[in-house]
Amino acid sequence: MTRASRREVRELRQQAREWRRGRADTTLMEVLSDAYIALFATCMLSAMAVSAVHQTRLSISASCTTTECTDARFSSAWVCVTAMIAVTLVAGRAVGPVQVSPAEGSWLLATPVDRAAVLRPRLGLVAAVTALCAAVAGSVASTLAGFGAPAIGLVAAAATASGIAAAMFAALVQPHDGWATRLLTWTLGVATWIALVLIAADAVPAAPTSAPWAITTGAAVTGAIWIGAAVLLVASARNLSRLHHNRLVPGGALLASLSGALAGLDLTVMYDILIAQKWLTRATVTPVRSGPKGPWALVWRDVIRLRRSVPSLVILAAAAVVPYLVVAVDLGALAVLAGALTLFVTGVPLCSALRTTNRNLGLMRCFPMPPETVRAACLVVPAALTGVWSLATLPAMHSATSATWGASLMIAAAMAVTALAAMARWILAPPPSYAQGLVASPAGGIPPGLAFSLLRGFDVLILATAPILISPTSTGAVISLLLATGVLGIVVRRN
Amino acid sequence: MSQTPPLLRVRGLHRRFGDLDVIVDLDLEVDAGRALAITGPNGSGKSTALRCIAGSDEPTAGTVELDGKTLDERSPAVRRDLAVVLDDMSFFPDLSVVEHLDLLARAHSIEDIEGVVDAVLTDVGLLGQAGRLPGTLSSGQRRRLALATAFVRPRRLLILDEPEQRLDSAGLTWLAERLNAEKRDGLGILLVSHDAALVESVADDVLALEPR
Repeated sequence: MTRASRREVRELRQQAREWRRGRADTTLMEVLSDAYIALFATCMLSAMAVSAVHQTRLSISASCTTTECTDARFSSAWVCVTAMIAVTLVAGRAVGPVQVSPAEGSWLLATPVDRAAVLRPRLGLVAAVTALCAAVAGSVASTLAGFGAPAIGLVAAAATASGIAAAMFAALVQPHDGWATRLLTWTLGVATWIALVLIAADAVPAAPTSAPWAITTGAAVTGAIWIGAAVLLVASARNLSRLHHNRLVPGGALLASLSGALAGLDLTVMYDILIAQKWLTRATVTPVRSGPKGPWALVWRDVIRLRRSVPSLVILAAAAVVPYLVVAVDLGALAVLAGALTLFVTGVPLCSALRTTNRNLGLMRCFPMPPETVRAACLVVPAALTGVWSLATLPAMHSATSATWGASLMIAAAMAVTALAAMARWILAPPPSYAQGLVASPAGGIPPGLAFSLLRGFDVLILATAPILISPTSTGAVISLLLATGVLGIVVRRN
Repeated sequence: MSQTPPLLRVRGLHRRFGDLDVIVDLDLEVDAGRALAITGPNGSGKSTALRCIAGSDEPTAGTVELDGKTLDERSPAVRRDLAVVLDDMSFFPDLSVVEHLDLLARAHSIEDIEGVVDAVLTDVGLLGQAGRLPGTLSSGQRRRLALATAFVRPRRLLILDEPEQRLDSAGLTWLAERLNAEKRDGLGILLVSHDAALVESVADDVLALEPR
């Protein structure tokens, strides 16, 4: 960078500071007070989180006594770190990872200042945020895996460096179409899945009885990862001036939309934004003009969607390993809840037609059938998939509950209907109404029940799986089925 | 001799938001083969009236009848007769232009689906964009697609809220010709419009609302 461009960027920042001067709308005492509250809240929440992780570690140590469970527990730390790197790559690619807001894109990137100098603090922010998240993930995973303090420190350090390296790799290939990031993400995802399958099949290496490695070896490996991360950081920083406007602004616009939706605690709006973003990048499809008539036309369109959403389908299929994994780590009592939760989370992306018709009165009005018929038609394909998924996990249910095969089948069916009801509740829930009376809160007026909107779907999971958790028999399964079916009926028929 | 009721009859329509009366005692009738345009400045309640008539909003008082029977948009029979394009129209993000029309035609179980869909696509000028996803269309093209959803399905009454929005001059000419063709086919049309030329060329009757 030339001396002149350095001065230009400095002058621009100085101008921004001068503009802000005299326009402050809070006093110094208010800022200090807010900072104190933020610091206090952070310390308190962190202490609670550390305590919860410690208690969970003790609880797992007490319950995980078999050799198989100990081996699985030891391997889980590495699986978590691998998955964390894959998630970092996905998130990095979705938002940039280097990004600017649309406003900054319009007036700042249009000026002849050195773009790399403008973007360098953004890259630093990406590295810092990733480092924090990766450090937390690494330390929690290694703590729950039962590692000792030095090993926890090393895994956390290695995870931090890996996270930074992943984010910087995504930034390095940001000027291109990102096939390298996609390839690496899928490779890591497949590796994670294979590791999970090995854990579930009890085919992982035996956990060492003493320290798994010499501290010096661990420190050397961690140091090597840090060197790699530093090299990628420098390379991506040197690459910043090559970033085109259209590789920077969409990520900023996406983040702004997502944060707006999050501010309203409306996760379904975040889902809409992500779905719209996904299809916007695709632009065209090969049209399919065939199928049955009447409500079945909607069902057939969902089948066509499956062909266009292969990654979602692959993730759903791969997630079938989760109930087996839960059984492998001696937590079979929670297999139904874990299965329903997994099915709920991985099944929601396959319900885009249900979401689109439900939030769009104009589109719903185009169909000749009543809204409940449209909703039911949009649930047929997700219901079929959840049914197949539950059948694939039947042996895990049988092993977890020790019930007869007939009762296990009913339990698996109850799990599928519960997950479907949870999906429908999450997707069809009405948005919070700001037109009605608001409840006073420290953050201002909020609609009553806003905070509970985050629990939608999860409440159905807890409610409908409770009978099976209490009594993993055919009786518990029937009660669970009745509850889930009732919820599904109410949610689908509600105006 | 029995008198045939009008296709659409609205009597004493009233809509109140809090203390504000947006529509007071609105009466109107639309006969088959005729078009009624509602005009008026912003805030005069045109779109609210249309939403109340189409069943998207609940009137405080008044009756809306289709063919002499109360218009209940929940009824499948009413949904088959009523083609409504208001400003709340958006699309499936993962279905192409032609797939939207194909889906609606199939949902309405019409005959010769491919022929009808192709004809409508050609008519609205979106044949070249048949494989594109709605998110990549311009605002004018999205408006044409919204109008196409009304033309691809069976209908007896068209309810359109500012159909001229975002259309270019060629699009406005096409729209006027298309709506006149709909009238010749015996359909009733109720539209809200700010475009004087469109109103003049299409509407047989004009209802001017005053601001409140």
